[in-house]
Amino acid sequence: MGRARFSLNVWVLMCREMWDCRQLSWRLIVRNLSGQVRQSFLGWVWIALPPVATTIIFALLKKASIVNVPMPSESMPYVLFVLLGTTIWQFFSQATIMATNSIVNAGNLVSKVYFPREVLVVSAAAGVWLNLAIRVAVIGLTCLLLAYKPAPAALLAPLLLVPLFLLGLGLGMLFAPINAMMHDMSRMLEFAFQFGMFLAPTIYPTPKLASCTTSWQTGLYWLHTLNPVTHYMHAVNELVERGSFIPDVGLVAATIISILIFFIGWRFFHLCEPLLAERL
Amino acid sequence: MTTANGKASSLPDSRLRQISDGGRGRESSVSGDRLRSSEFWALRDVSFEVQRGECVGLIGANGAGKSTLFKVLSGIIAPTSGTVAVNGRLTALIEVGSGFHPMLSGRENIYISGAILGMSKQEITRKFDAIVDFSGVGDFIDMPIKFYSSGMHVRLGFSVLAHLDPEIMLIDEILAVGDMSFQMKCMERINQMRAGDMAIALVSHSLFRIESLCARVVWFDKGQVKMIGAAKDVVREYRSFELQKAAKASDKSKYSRGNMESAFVKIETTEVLNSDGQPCQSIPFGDEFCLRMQVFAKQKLKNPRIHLVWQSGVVVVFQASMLLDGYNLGLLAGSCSVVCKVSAPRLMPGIYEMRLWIYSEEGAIYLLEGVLLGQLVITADKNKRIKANGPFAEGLKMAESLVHFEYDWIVPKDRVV
Repeated sequence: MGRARFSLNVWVLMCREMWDCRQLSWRLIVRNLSGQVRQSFLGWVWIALPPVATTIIFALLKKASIVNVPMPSESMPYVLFVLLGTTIWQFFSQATIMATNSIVNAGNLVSKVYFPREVLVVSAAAGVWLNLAIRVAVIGLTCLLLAYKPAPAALLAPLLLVPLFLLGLGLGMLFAPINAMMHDMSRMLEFAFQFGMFLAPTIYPTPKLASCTTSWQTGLYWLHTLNPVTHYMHAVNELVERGSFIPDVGLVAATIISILIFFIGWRFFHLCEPLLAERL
Repeated sequence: MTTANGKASSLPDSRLRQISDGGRGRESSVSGDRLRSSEFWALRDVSFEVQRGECVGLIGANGAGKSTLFKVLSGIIAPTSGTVAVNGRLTALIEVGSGFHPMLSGRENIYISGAILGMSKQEITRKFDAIVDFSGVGDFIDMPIKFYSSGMHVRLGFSVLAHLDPEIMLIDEILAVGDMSFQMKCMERINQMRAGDMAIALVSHSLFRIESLCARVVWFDKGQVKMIGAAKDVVREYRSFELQKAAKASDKSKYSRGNMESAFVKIETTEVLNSDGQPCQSIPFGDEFCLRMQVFAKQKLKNPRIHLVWQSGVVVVFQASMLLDGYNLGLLAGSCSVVCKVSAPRLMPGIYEMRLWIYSEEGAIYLLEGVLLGQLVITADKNKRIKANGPFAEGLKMAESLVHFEYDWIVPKDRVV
């Protein structure tokens, strides 16, 4: 079972295992969600709150002229821009963090029962889709309040996020076995995500390369460009504003990288699987 | 979902076979045999087979590797080297209530736990009523299980396990759950499984259970198979081994001859003599033995009386007392040898502490107070004094009770059944 060399049989086996576990994955997804919601009074509110809170704070800072965010003139309201950005960023970061922590969180189960461990990672990460649904409703509500009319095609935006989800899941599968050995991994990730948010168009738009006047601005532009999440955010913003987007080089590259990382992560996880129980 | 065979079916050949070396995962290789400094072999050169319709017991002290073996067999841990061949659906009962979520109802949790253990939704739905019925939680089934008593929790968990219908079942000490009637149900269920075509491996510290359920027993010691064979033989050997180990351990630590003197007397030496009059550590069951002490009087003592006690824990099993029988040592001055001969002891195999008091003639004051003389180890019934033909003879003969008397059953033959 454990050769790193590429062989089709391994992938067939991995796919079959994943397919065989679809019922179990679904069970665990439902279990995690209903458990989570029933355990707290405000249930859904906690899911909706984080992007709303971030948005309110930055909108306030901008209104009070403490931060100066240059928004392109024809674009959407700043509040909506931040809400979309933080929602997408947290969709990605939560998928990664939940997937990374899934093995440690289910430690007791992992050391007592045998079943394909991918199920744990996938079902933990899949929880972000429900969060997304709730947050989309919040975004819709915000549009109503602002009397902003997004393009109808914006409803297709979640489809755009599928590769982003795969990126988060892939990273989670890479990090989960490491996290099982060193719990610092999840701390490190949380730290990285907290600051990575500012290197993507979440609270301010990516500077245009043509209008960059200082090398600092150019540097920031490149940092944004290297962040794969940036391209998903651009695409979603364009979809909301204009109802269409141009799949530029960045988005195509980001998608390919996402899918590649997903497969690498999956393979890596599969290799580590037999070691998980004893290393926990 | 296949449980263990998905992982271990590289040998299509069959049965459980050749398990060795749990530790670090991956196939055997020369480098895989080397250990880092903090590592040790949890299992080493363990090799045995379990056939269909057989129930094999695994015994051994804590940390002997029994649970690790189960984890290796069920695929939770990959063996560092060696192979596991499993032919058939395998279930390891290492824990009850796997995957239970306290906020969810019993109904939801049956589906979750069932799915984790490898049942399909259709299968669970089909067996659902039987599971609920077996668990006896009744109307509580739609209540979040955080409101369950711990007994109900465990019963529900076990019920799911009991309805898995595996072909190979590994049971790790979980039968000690629930109340009496539930335990009876579990035993019934296991007997049913045993009667079927199932292969069962059972870990238990209850030798009673092992001996009565299993035909064959494997004894683990420090990760290796120490003995494998008929249940009766292995259980007997294991019991006497454990007894001797305990005797040795306690002899080294707390029985160092401590303060055995007072202002009046000093016990200079004590020893246990066997029936041949030779000093020895242990006495076979039923053999006569002597306790010999060298008593030294620091001043002239008139008619002191000795009070000797054999105890197991806090229970006094037997006493030999001059306060009881009226004997005394006469005028004691200087050193004097005293022997207490026990001619027909009925102490069951085990370890007994011996304590000594020396009283004044009238018994009002003691000259020496409750000193620990040492211990008496009674070993197995070598001369077959105990009638032992029953289903749990070897286990019971060793240490379930403290004393044994000869007895007969008198049952009227003409009773109506």
